[in-house]
Amino acid sequence: MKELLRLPAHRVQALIEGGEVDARELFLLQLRFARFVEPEVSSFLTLADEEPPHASEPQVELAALRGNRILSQIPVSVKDIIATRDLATSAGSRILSGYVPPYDATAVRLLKEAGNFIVGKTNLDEFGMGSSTEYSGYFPTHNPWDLSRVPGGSSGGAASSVAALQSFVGLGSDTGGSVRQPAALCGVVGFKPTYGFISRYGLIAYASSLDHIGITAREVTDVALMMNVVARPDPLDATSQAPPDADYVAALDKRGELKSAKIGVVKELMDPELMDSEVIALCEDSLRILGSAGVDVVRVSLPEVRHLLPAYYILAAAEASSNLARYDGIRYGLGFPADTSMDLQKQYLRVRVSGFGEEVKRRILLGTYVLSAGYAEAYYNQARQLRRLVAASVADLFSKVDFLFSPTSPFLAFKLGERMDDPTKMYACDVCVVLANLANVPAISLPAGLSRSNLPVGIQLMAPSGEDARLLAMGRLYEEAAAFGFRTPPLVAKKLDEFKA
Amino acid sequence: MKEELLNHLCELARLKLSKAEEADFAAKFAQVLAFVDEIKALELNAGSVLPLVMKERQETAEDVVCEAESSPELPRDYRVGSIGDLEGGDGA
Repeated sequence: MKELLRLPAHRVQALIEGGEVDARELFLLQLRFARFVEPEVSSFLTLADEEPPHASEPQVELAALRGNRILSQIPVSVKDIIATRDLATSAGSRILSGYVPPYDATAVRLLKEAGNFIVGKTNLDEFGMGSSTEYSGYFPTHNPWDLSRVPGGSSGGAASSVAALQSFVGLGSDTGGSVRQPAALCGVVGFKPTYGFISRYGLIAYASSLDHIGITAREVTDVALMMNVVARPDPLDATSQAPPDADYVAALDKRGELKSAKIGVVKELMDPELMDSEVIALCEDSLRILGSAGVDVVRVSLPEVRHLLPAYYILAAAEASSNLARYDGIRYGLGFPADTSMDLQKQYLRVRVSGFGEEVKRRILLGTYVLSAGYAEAYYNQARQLRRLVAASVADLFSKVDFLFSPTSPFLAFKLGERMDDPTKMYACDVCVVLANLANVPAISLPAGLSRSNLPVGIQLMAPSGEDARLLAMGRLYEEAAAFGFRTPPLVAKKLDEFKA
Repeated sequence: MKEELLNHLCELARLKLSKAEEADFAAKFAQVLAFVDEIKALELNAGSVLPLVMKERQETAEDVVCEAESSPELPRDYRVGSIGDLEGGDGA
């Protein structure tokens, strides 16, 4: 039975629905293997109990709405920045240590109502601020393909949990590529929908205009099944705009119609000066695969790309400095016994100084700086102007091509500690992925094969805003043409052999 | 980066750096500022910088003045009393 853990979620679900596998037994097996492999990879901040209180039959209404083609009865991991009732949620930060939400995020509630099981809460860079999971307030996560390397970030725990067979799918968050970049470095699929398609209610805010909940999975079909559960209009999120009747699974069946589609390769994001040569080589292989599937591949230019990272870091830091002002230790999270010799300001300061990590402090200070009198015009308003121009340029490109293509990460997974001495070296990891957040378009990272050193590489496809279903169909078309399938990292395969179910 | 600017930002953001971490933090923060600095020199003219997301929802309803069903009135000289008054006295 333990070999089931290697399968994509949709194949396991078919076995459950056919009565060949018991969902609760599968959950227990999943949880035990997650614990078995956890000392090597450190994907989780919290693992669930063996008797999950939320395990239930799918609610009829939800199942009927989606014609039963929803993700159901599957063990799922949830990034620790997404609220889960009765399960600790810290956003990877010491300042929220011990916080147990009294409510579920909408996406979590929907997953539970569809009968899925929460395996645990996955590790991340504190509040989603990082690209390697080394900025977690607790411990770093290791890449299952090479334990001396990072899994990417900030949803590094989500990606490693799916790659290391600790969960079948994962909910993550993506403010500037945080689902897609780790998915690429861990050899799995990572999807960021259009802004507002998955409710942000219960997602702890980092940069609200850029924050998205996203999905990590082994195959595109699993993403579509998950979207059929979580992409729903939500009155609890004022920016929610999911089409109420979209069927992402059914859309996959129309992938044949996309064989005449046109894909634009963003040439600035294939620049050998910015990208590893092996990454470019595997991306070119992927383009040949798409070409042989009938897709028309053309080169397009987006000159604004070279200014995207500064704009992104200004906007994200500005929003973070406001969103994180609420953490003072008074209502939840880290607190100290009352000290009557201190005034309230000093009590706040004590909590914030001990609770926030170095990178979070840096971004709060950067945000404070770019919003302060005399600097806002030069930095913040310039970044907003650039964002608007980029969105217009991307819309213009989409009048000529159906999808945009780039690598997901410019580099292979790097060694732990390698980029910690200069924060801007870490920021450079996001050069390909921030575009989709700034332009508000859906994007997906797909496995493109392995480097000579046996490390995964991912390609990224983007579609016009709102065309999430079509993007997933193109992803499936590529997946089918490439015929890579999900690959178990050798170390994890060895652990599975040793594991006594 | 000048120490007084860093201290001023810390004060605004309700943060504080210890003497031990100040030097390293200032150096890394200077790297970040240099990284974002290029944006200042760009000549951009994108027009309005209203939020670009949710365009279709930017249209808001006309403001309409509504008659209040009842308007609670407080005496002009009403003041909240001190804590001591509230706990032991009549509060007004």
